[in-house]
Amino acid sequence: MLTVTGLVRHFQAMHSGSVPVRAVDGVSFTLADGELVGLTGESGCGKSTLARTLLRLVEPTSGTVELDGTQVTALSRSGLRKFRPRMQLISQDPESAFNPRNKIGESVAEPFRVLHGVSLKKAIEMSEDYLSMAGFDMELVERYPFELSGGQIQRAAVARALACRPSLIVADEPTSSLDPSAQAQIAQTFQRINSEHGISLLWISHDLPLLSCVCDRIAVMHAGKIVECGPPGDITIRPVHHATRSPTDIMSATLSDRPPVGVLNEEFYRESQYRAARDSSGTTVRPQNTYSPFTGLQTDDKTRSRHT
Amino acid sequence: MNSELLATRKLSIRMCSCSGPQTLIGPVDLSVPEKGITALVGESGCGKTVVSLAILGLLPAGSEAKGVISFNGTDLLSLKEKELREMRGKEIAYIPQNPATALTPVLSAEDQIAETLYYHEGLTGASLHRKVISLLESMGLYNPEHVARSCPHTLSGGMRRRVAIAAALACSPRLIIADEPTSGLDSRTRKNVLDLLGRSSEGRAMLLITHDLEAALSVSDRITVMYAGEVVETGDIMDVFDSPAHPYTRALLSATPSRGLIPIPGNSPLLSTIPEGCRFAPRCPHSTARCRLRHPSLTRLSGTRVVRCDMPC
Repeated sequence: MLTVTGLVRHFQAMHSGSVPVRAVDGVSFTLADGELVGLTGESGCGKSTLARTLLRLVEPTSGTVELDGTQVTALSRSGLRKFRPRMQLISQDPESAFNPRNKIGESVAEPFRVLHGVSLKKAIEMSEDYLSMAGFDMELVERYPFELSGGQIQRAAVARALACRPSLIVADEPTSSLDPSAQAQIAQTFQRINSEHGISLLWISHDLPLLSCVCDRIAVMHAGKIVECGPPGDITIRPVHHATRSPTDIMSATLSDRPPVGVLNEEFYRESQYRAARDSSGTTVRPQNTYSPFTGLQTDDKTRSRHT
Repeated sequence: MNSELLATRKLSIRMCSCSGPQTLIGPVDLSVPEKGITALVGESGCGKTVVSLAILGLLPAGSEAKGVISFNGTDLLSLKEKELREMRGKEIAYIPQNPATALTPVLSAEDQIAETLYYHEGLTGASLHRKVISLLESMGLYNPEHVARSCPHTLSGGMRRRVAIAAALACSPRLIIADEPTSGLDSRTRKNVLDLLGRSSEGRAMLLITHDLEAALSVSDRITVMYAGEVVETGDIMDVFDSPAHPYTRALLSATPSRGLIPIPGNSPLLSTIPEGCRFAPRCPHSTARCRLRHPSLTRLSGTRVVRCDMPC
């Protein structure tokens, strides 16, 4: 269980006398064991800084982070080093996260060599379980990162993170550079490891339709603060804060006058009638039997009922 | 009548791979009408970007394109480098995949946009400056004078993207090739850039290479789907999204969050080890023994709808 309380990170601008940049400005939230939470918001709203600060890759200005009863923010350098395996980061560009001179199998075996001090051969054997858990194609372990597709490398990154047996994984836009199929593969992998291993997952993304498909809760950040947090249905159908409303409007039918990809025409028109009604009356009551405007998911969808 | 502006016929591209030069891409039969947006989609590594580089004559050294790339009646492959240089920027413009690396870090935005105008239209001095500012203004940038003076690293992702689009539009080209213009942008910027592309494509042709199927649907008129170096389906975008004919198109659409987020089983083949027969057969739920032996050819289903499958859905 992750508890973040009043986390702040300010950056002093280079020329003196200027106001500090408040990248993360008092963020508090909790993440239960095995919960998958999406974090979204405009570019520059502080999502990535929040991720890096709560992993203590960037030192927080103030505030506390507690993971499974350990005060991460109070750890000494050596204590933090011992604690690091418990919290893992998966980055946006998977290729740059691997040493280009090592075969992918060797890179994934590295945590075992470092943490357990075993030989490379033994470490590679031990990593095989994790690779298959992440859905990595075992025929490809002898390849170098540049010889693999983005989707496969990202799965190797997931395997490497899992190999540390973490209780928290922070994924910073893990699918934004991937094609639709690879995106779906990674989303499925995350859902699986999250439910099977009880790992808490914080998933940062701009892709609201994707987050609302896979997450238990979605948090929206704006100017360094979390302004809204709730189940995907509430966030996408009944956004309260203006920062949430604009992306959800954009994600739904206003992207164009055409129906969104997965929605049948009939549903689209019903939804647009509802939107028109909402605009005129100012209420946010959702009519019965409608689907979410862009996901085609009903509220009793399995991804959400898992935690009810 | 919306006639064809760009057409490739049996375009195949030979490139250097680990085991020596090999034909990796092709045959690609692509057609872009004179007006409107044509989306080009497919998994990573299926050859979308290489095809666009072949059209621009910018293939990496050691590669060779065969076939015909006809642009407004001229075969681009038969042109000399000097003639091609006259075309690039003026007739065919390119919006690069990653403006952060494609723009020169040491030049201001104005200098980079001005370069095309100076080279092709001979504009200089105050008239050149006015033209650059009006271009930046039409991109919906809040303070064009300030952006013009800025170096790329001081601009945000969305602003850089707009500078790259402004540079591409500078000489009013007849064809714009946009390579992943919306990747990595937040939803508001993505919508703005899409609106901008939609507006810029009025009266000209655009080839939109993208992974973002939602974005493709919102702005495009036609779509071409590529798989493992060849075109597998082409048609009107609404028809293709309503009733995909090729099993691969169907699978690709099912991978979007709105259609269930179902990944395609297996991996796409490496272009250097392409299977015999239908290239999608090993991953296709409907494949038969015949699919694995015989490579299907492009067949016309109706009007402009073309599919490379013996048993279209």
